Amino acid sequence: MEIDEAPQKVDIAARIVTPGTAITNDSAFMRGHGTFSEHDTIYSSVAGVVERINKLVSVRPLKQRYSGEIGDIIVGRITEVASKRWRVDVNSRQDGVLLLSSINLPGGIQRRKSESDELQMRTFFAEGDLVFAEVQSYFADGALSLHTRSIQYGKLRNGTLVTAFPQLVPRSRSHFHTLSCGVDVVLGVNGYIWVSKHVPASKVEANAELIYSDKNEPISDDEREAIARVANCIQLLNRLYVKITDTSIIFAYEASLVHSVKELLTHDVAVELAQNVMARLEQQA
Amino acid sequence: MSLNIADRRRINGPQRSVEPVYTTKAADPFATGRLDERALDQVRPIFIKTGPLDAQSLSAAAPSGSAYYEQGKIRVSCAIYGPRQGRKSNARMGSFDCDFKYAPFSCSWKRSHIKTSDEKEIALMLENSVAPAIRLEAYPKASIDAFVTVIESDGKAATIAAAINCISAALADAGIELYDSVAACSMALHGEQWVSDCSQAEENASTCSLLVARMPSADEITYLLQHGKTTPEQTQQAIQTCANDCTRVYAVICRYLQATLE
Repeated sequence: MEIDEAPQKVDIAARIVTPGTAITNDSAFMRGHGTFSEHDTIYSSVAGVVERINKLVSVRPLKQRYSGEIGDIIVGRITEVASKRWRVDVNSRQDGVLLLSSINLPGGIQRRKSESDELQMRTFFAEGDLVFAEVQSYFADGALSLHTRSIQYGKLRNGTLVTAFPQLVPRSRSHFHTLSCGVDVVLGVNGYIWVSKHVPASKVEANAELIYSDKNEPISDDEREAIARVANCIQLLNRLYVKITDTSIIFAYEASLVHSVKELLTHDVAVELAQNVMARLEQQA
Repeated sequence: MSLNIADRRRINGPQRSVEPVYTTKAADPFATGRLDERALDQVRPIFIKTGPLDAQSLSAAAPSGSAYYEQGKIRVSCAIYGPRQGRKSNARMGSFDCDFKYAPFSCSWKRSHIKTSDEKEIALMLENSVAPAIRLEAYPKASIDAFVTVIESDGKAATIAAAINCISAALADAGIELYDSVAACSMALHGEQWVSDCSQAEENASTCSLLVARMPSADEITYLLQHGKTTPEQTQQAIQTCANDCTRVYAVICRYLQATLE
């Protein structure tokens, strides 16, 4: 094994490669994501930028499917009700799994799961419902196992779903934000973002029986407009590849007030607002 | 497809359409060099754009990757969905499925809205050409679906080659792991001479057509299709030349992918 590899190290990092390009045939390197090896040579398997961390070589493509980590906060849509579990679309390679034993049963967290619960799974989550959950672990085949064992998680209502690129939603301490305009935003790390009417936390806790209710609160026209405006702001941040955090959404919202909600979807207004947001974010940093 | 099934959902044109009769006779494709003045071994100019079908609105149904590909007058678009939950829940490897459709206005005669057996056959051809290049063992239980639409067609073998190139670009755009991009090229035999990348008129005037799909970095041919009768030597020679053309097309695809990443 050669000790002095400095010139070669400078060569391979930050190269742009296409699938099938040979990166290195030095056996000292380990291969990471986005590569495969054949006969001691490491080849790239995606079109992207080569990254090297010490001895690990990987290739990062522009677009990547969301792959969950334990502890990720995500928003998912129920696709199937199966025996003692739900299958949830989490924008990943495989559907996630929400086990019946991983949800809060109405009537208090301490209640034991009964047989009638198993037979009435659709009274909790039915196909098409949106769920706010956390990744607990992985199954053997790599599917995510989710749980909603906390009062802040559970079924989502009173709002609308916006999809964004998963890379644009950074992992942070809190993924549930209340904006000053009376709108709640749930930033799922998998790119699914829920924008809804603000419901005070006290009201949620008071109605422990209604955590699986499908009935929306009454939403006034002004609240609907605010929700639509925030949703369009998130959509334009997504189109122009700006990181989606509560700060960037608030900046975009404030800058968007001069335009009508519909105008936010046009290209010119979107570019102008995104540049405005990026400038303010840089100022802040 | 002139069956008596009435398509009530659309405003239909006449059931049978014929090309208008022109007063001047159509030019003979190989009379004096090629009609568009290309060399006999020259491939038509290629234009690629990836990501045209990225989400523009609030829809969650956007494809993971997409590409628009032009080669001369041929225009093809491809959308890739996946990797997403597959149908078989015990599969060790991912599955790759292809869907191919000619738009009704893409050929010089009106095509049916319903998929014909021809299109289903081409879909299988595309699957067989591109699947070897995808690292399916990295996607257990997942399925990758490609939907190819031909917007304008010009030469059957050339259009299939264009579809294969389009799928390669779209797969790279989707960030799906590949062993290599697949590049394809076609040729046709006119008399004793093999001509590269023939248009519809040139193909009609030829006796045999050949399609080669190749992974240049791995130096492997993934698909070979010949229509017509030749001697073994002729086919041998054609495969060599076509493989070289594939490498040229591959260079174009790679250059484009690198340019978008910069």
